[in-house]
Amino acid sequence: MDQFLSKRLDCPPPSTKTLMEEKDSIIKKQQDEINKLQLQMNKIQQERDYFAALFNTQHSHNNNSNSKSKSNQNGEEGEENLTNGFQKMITPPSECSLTSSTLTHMPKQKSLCTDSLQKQSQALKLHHHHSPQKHSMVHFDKTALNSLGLTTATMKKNPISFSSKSHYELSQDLQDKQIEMLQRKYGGVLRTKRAASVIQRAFRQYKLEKNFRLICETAKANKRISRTFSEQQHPLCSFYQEKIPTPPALKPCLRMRKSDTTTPIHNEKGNDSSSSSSSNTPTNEHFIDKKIDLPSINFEHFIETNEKPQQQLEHQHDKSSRKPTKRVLIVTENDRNMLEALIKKEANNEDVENSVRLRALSSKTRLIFGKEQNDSDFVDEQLSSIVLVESATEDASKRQMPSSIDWCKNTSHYNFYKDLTSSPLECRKFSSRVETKPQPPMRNSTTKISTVKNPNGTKMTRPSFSPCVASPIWKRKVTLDVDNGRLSNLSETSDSSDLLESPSLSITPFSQSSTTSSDRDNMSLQSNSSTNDSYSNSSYSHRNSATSLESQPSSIQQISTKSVQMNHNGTETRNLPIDPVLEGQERILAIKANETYRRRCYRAGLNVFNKKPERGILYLINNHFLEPNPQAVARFLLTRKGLSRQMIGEYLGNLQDHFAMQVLHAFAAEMDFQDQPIDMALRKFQSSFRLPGEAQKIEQLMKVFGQRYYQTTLSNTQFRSPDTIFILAFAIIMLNTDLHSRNIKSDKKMKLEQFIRNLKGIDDGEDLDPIYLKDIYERIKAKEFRSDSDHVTQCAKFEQTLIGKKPSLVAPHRRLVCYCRFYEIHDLTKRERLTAHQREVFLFNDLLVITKISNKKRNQIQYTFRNSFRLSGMNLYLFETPYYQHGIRLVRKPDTNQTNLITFNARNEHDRAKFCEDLKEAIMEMDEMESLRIQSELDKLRLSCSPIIRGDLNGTISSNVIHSIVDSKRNNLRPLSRTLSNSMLDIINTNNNSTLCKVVHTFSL
Amino acid sequence: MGNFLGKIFGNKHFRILMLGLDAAGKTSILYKLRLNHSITTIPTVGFNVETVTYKNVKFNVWDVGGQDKIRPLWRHYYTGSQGLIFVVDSSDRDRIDEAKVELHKIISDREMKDAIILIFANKQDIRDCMIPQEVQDRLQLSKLAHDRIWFVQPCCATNGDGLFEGLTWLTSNCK
Repeated sequence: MDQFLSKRLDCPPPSTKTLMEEKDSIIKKQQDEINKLQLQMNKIQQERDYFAALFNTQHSHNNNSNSKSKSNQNGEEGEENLTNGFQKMITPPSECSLTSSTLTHMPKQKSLCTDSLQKQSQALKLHHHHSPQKHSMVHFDKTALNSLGLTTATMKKNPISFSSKSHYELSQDLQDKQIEMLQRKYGGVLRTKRAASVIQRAFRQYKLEKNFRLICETAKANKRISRTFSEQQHPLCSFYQEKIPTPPALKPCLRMRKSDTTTPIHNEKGNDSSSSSSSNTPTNEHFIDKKIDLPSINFEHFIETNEKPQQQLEHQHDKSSRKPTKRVLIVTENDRNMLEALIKKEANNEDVENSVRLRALSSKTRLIFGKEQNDSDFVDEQLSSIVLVESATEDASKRQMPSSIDWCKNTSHYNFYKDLTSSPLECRKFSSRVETKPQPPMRNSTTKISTVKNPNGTKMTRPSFSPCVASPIWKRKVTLDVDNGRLSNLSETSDSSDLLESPSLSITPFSQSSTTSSDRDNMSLQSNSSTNDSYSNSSYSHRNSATSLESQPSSIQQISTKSVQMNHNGTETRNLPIDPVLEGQERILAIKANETYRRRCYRAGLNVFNKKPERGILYLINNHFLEPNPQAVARFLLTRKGLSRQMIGEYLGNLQDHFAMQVLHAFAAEMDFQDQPIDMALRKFQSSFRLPGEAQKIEQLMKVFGQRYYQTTLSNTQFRSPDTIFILAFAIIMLNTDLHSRNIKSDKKMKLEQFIRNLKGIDDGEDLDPIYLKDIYERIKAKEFRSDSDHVTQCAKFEQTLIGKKPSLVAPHRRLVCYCRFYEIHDLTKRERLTAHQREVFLFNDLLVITKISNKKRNQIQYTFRNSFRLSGMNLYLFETPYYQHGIRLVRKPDTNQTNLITFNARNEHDRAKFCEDLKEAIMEMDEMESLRIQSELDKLRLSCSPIIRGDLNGTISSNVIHSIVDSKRNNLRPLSRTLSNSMLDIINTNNNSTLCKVVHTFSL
Repeated sequence: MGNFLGKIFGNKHFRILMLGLDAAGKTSILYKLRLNHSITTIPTVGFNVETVTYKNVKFNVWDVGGQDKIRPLWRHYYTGSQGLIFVVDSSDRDRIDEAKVELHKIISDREMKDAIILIFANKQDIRDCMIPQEVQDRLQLSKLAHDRIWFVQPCCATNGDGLFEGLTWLTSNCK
């Protein structure tokens, strides 16, 4: 046997050898590339420094000129702030390259920038009031500077600060001179352009590299990487138009319904080049890439072609309005641009009222900025909250909102276009579908894009605006896409599915005018091919063409409207002219999709944490949800919802993990126990996690607690040493166990005297004050230690109300997502009372529990358990029949033949949409979890196989060792290969040269 | 009634302390023994204390441990204890001496002089682990006083092998 083995190892399968070589060469190449990139980064840094220096001199120069003339005090201040902000902003590219914690820097800078922007806007407003005649100057300044073509984020800021500075101080001549000077300083127009592009390119490359490293780390399976890059199709966007067996009563029909999606959050629609920098933060990039790994989920929307066409126009709630709080607000330069543009708009239009409104708007934006900052904390509203289905009134009110602040919207849209033009270097695509063609049978509005193309960007487009309010079936939409060279139109086709699908349907990759092809590839992995694919199957024709816009802000009048057909309860068709579509809607959707995905990843991270805390923390750190320092992790553990307290305790009590111990110290350092008796302090300490039951772990925790308690109560301590506190704390935990554990008989419970006697001489040989101990004893006896409630306790509570033969619902990773009342449908073709078979459906993050309410007990709600379904691999269909208007069908998706799980009818559209959204999200979360699991399995397999392969190559490992390895591998691999899900086998099979595959085959012989 | 029946059928109560170094597998053993009982209520904050009923004997097992400083606190529980379960990680040769010191410290305590000692040589499933005899030697159990009753039981907490054999030994030796 040994001989056989060594033989086998001496001559490994040739394919394995070649594979290894291949891998090596790839790694080499990558390293070379990284080196190159680093060199480039250094260069860029130098250049950046040069620019910064230039900027500083310019700034001081401006200040001098300012002081000559009388200036508005406020304006001065605003500018000061602004310039400061920008000076800080200049650093990002290089800083990113230098520090690993890019993420932490970026938001700060963002907020800084926005702050200063707000100030700037206010200041400018003041100026406009005082000196309206200067508006033209501002305008000129801006356009002139635009013509400079400073595309990079760095360069862009300079001209703007200049413009804001000089617009009321310098005459036009001076301005001209200044610009000239600038150009000269930067070495001419061409050179500035080149420099800008170099900076940009380097930054992108840096991010690319970082991204790549991340992928390498997280997705170690090289096959996965190749898969990632080879697959262009975004899973979220992939709409398989597969034929799905439907009941004869149903006719599959992709319905074109898109209720308006505009909610008046103006900040979202910054669709200009600079906004890409927001979306190009490493995190997002990472997500974009990771998305591709997601198994695709198909949600199809079946709608019966109804005899009453009008009924189909029933209003579907807009996703964005449904979850207003979850809107993604990415505040970056585009906000700056927006505000700036707003100001300009105001300049053109001397309306006092406007300015007042503008001010209101700007204050509003500030509010939103604040929100964004909260958002960036990854607060997940969904976590551990029962989202009872809300009333639709909120939505209705939301829908009304746009019209009320019509003006504001107009302004912002309008300005949005101006900003687009600020960078001539970029070839921007602007597509608008202004011509709508009704297709009566399907009532789709087919769109046609009327565009004017001008390569030099000297022409401007004025998309025609024809309000088609009159037609209930006509719809229009203006799509704007910044993606360089690409055009993604969210066709109306997709909208039907969009109602079910995540808003990410058309993910517009935010690739800024990419200067390198590799960048573009990276950034727009999930590019429009997917969306186009989805259209190709549809019968709608749309023509796209690209247009470059030029920079004549004042002349661009871009108004787009959308008529929305609303039909309440399917009885009355109304046409509500809803104000202009946000031009950047696709962008918003994309950002939202990104955000949705990010949230999903975050939740997956929490789930991992709730299963394996150490791995969860690692995952969260790797995905930039957490900073890799103990303080950040400690704060995370303390403040975030959705973490099982039991698992927090387990993590903090992990004596083997050095990092966890550091976290424990940081965790204790976050607490302040001043003026609290020790037991109260201990109660507070342990409330945020569940104390693990092992003596050693408790010992460690109490030690840390004792140190912290000693520190905070140093001034008036009654204890001689931290050790005393430690022992006392330990004794208190012991007492708590003794007094409250059900496993200890009441006659054996510790008495007060015993407690005091047991603590004799612990204070450095001295006794503690018995009265103090008595108080502690009484308090512990009166109220036992409990950790605060978390999602697990919620599950436990729910489980208590559930009767019948039920599976155990309490698990650290299980979380109640929402609850909804549905009516089960047994036979689609039979008409039944609508309220028959009422079911209470509880959606957990990995389980769907169907219950029936039972009224046996009067004062207590009880549910009878009916059924439960695992979410992974579940598919969801909506349908509509004459009998059941709001049907939902759940289907298990084992690769080929789908088995019907259950069919429901919802009470109303809102319930259904809401529930579907949650369910869909939960399913995707589960799929994400599944992919993570597979990933870790693969890693494990890889890790366990690697010594053999190494042995293969050098043949130095003694046959005895190999024997044991192979033996153990055999034992492990067999069950493993069995447990591998089909999807994993799929992965292996798609990569023919997979080492894993070979290894598996070799050792399962 | 339960008490009455207990008297007839000889229901016995033993308080057992479970000790061992950290990561030796105490908690795993405790919850493996408890496996057939479903845990419905949220457990008390504090130490693992479980009641295991086996062959009419109720074992009240305390998961105790810790360094010298807190050992005095356990004295309260030493007094009523009939037995001691000491868990050893038989795959960890580096810490076996540490475990030995720990064990000898505990059993030399005055309150523990009557307790019988069951040593679980845990993690027998791990390749190349110490066999019970080696554990016995390394713990220097033969150096104990002759009236001490002790027994080394090989076990594996992950699959439960040997655990109930250990309990059987306890029932037959507890007075």
